[in-house]
Amino acid sequence: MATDLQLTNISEKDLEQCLKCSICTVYCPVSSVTPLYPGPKHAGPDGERYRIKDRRFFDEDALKMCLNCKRCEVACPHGVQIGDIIQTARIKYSRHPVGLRDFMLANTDLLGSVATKAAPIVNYMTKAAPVKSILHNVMGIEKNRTFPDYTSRTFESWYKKEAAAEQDKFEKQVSYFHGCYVNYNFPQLGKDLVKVMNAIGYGVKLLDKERCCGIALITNNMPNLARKQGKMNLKSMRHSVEQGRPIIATSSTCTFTMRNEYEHILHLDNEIAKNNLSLATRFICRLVEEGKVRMAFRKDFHMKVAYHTPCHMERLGWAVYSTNLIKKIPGVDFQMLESQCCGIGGTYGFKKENYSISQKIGENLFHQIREAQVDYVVTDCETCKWQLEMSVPIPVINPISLLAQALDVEETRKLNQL
Amino acid sequence: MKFDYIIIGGGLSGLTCGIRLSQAGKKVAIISAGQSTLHFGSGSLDLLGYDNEGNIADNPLDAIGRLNENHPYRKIGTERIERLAEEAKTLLDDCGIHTTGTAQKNHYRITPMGFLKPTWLTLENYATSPSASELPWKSVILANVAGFLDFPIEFISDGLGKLGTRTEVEIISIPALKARRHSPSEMRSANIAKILSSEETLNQIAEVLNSMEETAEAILMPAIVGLDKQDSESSLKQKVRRPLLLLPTLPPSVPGIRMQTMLQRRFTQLGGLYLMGSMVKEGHVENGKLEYVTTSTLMDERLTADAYILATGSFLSDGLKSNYERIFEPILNLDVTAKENRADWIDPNVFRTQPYQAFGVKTNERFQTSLEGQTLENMYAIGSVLGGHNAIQQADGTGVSMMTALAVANQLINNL
Amino acid sequence: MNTSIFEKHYDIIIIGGGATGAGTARDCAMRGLSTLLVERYDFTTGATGRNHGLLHSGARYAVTDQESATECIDENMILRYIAKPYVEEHDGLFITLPEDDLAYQEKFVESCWKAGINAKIIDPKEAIQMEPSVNPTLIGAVQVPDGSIDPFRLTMANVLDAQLHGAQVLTYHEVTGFIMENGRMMGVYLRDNITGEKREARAEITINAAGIWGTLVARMAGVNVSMFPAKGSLLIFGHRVNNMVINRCRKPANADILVPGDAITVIGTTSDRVPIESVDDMHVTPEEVEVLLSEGAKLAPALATTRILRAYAGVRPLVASDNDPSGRSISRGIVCLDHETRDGLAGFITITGGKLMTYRMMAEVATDMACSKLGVQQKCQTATTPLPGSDKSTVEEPENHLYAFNARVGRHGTLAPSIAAMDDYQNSLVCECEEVSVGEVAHAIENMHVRTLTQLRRRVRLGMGTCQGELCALRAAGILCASCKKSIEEEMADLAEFLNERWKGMYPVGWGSTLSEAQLTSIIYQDLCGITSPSMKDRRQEP
Repeated sequence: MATDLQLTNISEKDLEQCLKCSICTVYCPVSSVTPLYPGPKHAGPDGERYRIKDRRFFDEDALKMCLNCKRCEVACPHGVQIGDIIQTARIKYSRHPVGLRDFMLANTDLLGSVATKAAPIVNYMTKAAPVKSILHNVMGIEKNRTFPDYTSRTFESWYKKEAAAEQDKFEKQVSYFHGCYVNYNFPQLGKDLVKVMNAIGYGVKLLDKERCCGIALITNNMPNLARKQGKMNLKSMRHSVEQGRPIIATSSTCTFTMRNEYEHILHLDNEIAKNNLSLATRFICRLVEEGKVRMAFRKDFHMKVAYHTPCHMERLGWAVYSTNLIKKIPGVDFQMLESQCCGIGGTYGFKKENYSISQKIGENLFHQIREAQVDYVVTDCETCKWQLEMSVPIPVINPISLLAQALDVEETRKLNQL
Repeated sequence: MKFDYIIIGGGLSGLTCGIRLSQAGKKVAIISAGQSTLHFGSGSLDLLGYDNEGNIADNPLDAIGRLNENHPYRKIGTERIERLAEEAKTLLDDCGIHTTGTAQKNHYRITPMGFLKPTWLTLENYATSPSASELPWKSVILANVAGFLDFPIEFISDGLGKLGTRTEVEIISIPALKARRHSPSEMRSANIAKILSSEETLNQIAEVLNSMEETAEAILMPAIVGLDKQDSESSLKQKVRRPLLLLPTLPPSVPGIRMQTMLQRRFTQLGGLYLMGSMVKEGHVENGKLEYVTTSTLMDERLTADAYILATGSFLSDGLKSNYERIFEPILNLDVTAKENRADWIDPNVFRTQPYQAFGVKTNERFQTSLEGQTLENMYAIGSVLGGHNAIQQADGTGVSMMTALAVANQLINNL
Repeated sequence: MNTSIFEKHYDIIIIGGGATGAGTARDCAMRGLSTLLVERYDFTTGATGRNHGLLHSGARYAVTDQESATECIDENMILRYIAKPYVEEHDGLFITLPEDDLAYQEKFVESCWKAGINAKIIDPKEAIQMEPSVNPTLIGAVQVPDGSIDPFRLTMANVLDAQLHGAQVLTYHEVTGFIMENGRMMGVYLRDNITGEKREARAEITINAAGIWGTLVARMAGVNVSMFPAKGSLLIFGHRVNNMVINRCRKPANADILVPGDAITVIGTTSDRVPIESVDDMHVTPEEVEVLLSEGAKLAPALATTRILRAYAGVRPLVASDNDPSGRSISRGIVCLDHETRDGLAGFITITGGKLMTYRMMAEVATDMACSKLGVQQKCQTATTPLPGSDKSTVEEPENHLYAFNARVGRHGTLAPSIAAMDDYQNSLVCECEEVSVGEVAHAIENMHVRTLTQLRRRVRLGMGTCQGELCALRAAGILCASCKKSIEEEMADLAEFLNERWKGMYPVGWGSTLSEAQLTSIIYQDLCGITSPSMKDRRQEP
């Protein structure tokens, strides 16, 4: 034992690497706009030292204000997993039962599968003033928020009927983790992905069983359900990999959750995801840069776009892939927005107590976008899209959709000898 | 991914080097494990504050020749330093970081404890003095924000008084700042600066400052404006009737953060790729050359370049690491200059020379690093990861960062 | 300084501001004696402030010293009652490792029972469940009612209570000699260690409660009390590794107690005889660090990879009775010397031996002796009267929950509400690691004999956390300047001294994050702020 004394430092989420330098406090979007949140340093490593001592030091009301953007972790020069410390503390120390509102917001799968069955009514209802007022006053869901529309036909049902049969024709295949948003709200993005992948010679399959990645369950303090869903997703991924199909996704948050949060917060063995799950933009960008596939673009495509880096994309460090890919489109006039939180934080901004914080956080970004004067804001996260579209009158799309619009499919197929 | 140059570390030295290389049309990536030590900055950059005997260096260039031969400046040489110092100032201007000062003569910055320290360049709008024994004002108003603990006004007031300047202390507040004070821990310089970034709050602050009746020549206040650009600083200055000057605070440093932001902005404008929150995990060395690196975020992606520049900083930035047994460079285990025996790393008196401060990565005259005695010809080291000097005692940390960054960048650009 | 303090003729003068001196002052004052406590520096600067902070169950001494064991368990139970907020009742384990003799366990438990200590053999697996950090290779475990106690808070509570009962207290007043009249000790000559002023104070009886320094105090009075200074070094880890005390179930040896206290864990101790001349300046050596780490990691393997915040050393005030070089087989029993009968010097009592755990009993014994000499009948009530902050009332949690509240209650018990927390300024944190607010600093300055940063650290833990004073020292220095009407020079020197004192504990463990932390601190204070030591002329010794 004496031979490896004090050669390394091991502590939960690298808590002890914290030098108390306070750099993280500069980059917290929440404490920047409200004095009620104690900031990442205090809520994270400082507070954790005392919570280890005594649960009484757990201040649930304060920690709940963390929107889990992980910008503190990106800023930390010493690799302290500050955001993870805070989320884990919420799970570890909270003894409050989860309320109905949080349960509803977090169970996207459940809500989605019910809502899509009666989509027109639901969509109408969630926009109706009396319903909004009830949601606001009784449930605590912010009235200024508009729920994204539900589709009457889920992506999965479209896929099975319209696309599945085609996919076996491709020699190379991937599995697509579409996520709740694509399935229940916005199948078009899934269709765009199939279009792009098919054009570059990849068949797109679905996972055996896909459940919500669970990010909303994690942040709304339902770790057990999240773990259960996570295990199912990992199992499906394992099966996909065994079949020779890597997995791609179009949501940076789903990707981040399954690669990072599964391990750090849910303590799942997610090696399979870490090694085989990629964001579609990363997957395609690397293929192109390695010369394995080629893309041709429509000559008539001209678009001025600005890329917004979602917080979880920032933490993944993968914005470079999305932006490199976008920049490959000749007709794109590209600009990069400075990386700032939009304020939505998944379900965070839908809660009425967080609404004003959420909007204040996003204000800098909204301002940047207004100044930019672009046709599209491009981003990899669906909740950022909601927030931006609710706050700035400029459409927001996923880079894959931009690619799908710009791609000359026939020419691309030819280039890839299909 | 392929680049002309990869810089590991995105602080002052990494960014200076990256900007210079990008200006020359090179494709550069900076990989940064987190935010930098600029966050502890003073708003000034030091070239060389004290000579080898600990006396104030009136003319830093004169004192360079007498430095220890291991000092990074000695590898560059006084003449080149003189040129690079000019270049550094121009580079900063190009980034929108406007400073005053010259390498031929130190001026003095006022510290958050009211001392004067010799320095090379100071941001516009920050209080300085040309002399070590007196200040340019007979009387000043020293204004602090109510409840802001990171600006120990008693010490500053006393320090200015000892230099013959009469100070009138004023504690000010506005409603938005009063609200911020509700947080017991987050009444920090940067958070205050975020509040003081709107015209409305600046007008209110200006109104308070303009309402003071003392006959002071200038108003000195903590550096709590101008976080991400100089705008709010200049705007406030315009609104205030008397000359308004800023003084550095305890960290986080608003002027430092701004420097970081503006350097980074310039670097990306020039086409550079800045990977924030990414740690270099592994470097593959073959035949005395670094072939590629991989990072914590890009996983199996190999990043390759013609040359690599290590700008990872000292211990506090994890550029150097230590454990019970040794001091080492954590990425490649590059050769370091460090004493073997732990007892020789430190001195029991904190104010005496701490040997560990001068430890660093070993390089040759061209700042090429080495691994087990073999030179890595395409791996350079710049900035605080270099040993051979004690930045605390010599007040040369930021200077070494910029000078070595530019020296190596020019070397690479000119194929030297 | 209020001169009337020196005009009064006291019943009792107590020398020494450690737990024993403070406890004696409390006891004397509660019995109605007019009392003066004098301390040459600050409270808790001796062994009181430099130990494990272990609330011994007595189990450690059960086999070798039944008397001490019984005293410990008695006092243990008393302290749980009278010093509730300063005690943590988390129990302890005595573990047997494969290299230890399991047969010792039986003898151990038997001795514990004999001393009245509720020792319970538990299954090693259960022990791991109760205390996950314990060495998993253990082959035996005994649960005992160990706990931890905060010696700083305990001592201050005694001081406060003594004052509430009318005692006078003088810190920074060093005894330089004794007033002798007709062969009787009639008081002390004092030097104010801050101003250098000379003073005297008179009393019927003087009690020497100066710990290891008691031997020097006695020498000054011309009597010989031979003490045995044994240095014990300890290490503080960055967070709580364990939540129960972990001991080795074997004959007491080096580094075999691991105590959780506040937000940290302490391993100790070593034991080495040191010359009495060296006791004012103890430094922890690399060899001691090595022993503490390698032995400590056997108790809890995580110690091998846990950050160490600092190292410190204290001196055990043992009364020498034989030449045991280890200093361990010596009884820690209480020694109360009546110098009138022993040496023919009336008016002088020495109370020594003992340990932090038995400070109250020592105080009782010494006060009993003094009372009998003074013909006072009052009985001791210190065992049944709760200390300030320890009464039964509950502290209401303020509605606008501000986070330093729990830390305040943790440090001050039911006295916490007297700390100003009414407005945002008072709630602002000075020390973020330990959650010390402006209000708490002000409270300490006002009520707890605080003029320096180091005193503030002892009273409210300022600068005791992970960063060891990185920002808080300067913030607090500003407040000290303003509220103590100190000169800037004085405060500057105080700050420099504080930084050097923090470093003194850091450099013996100066590697890893602790070395990085030290570099960051020096960048802030020396580079950014430009602070230099008052004796900085020698700052360049190296070429």
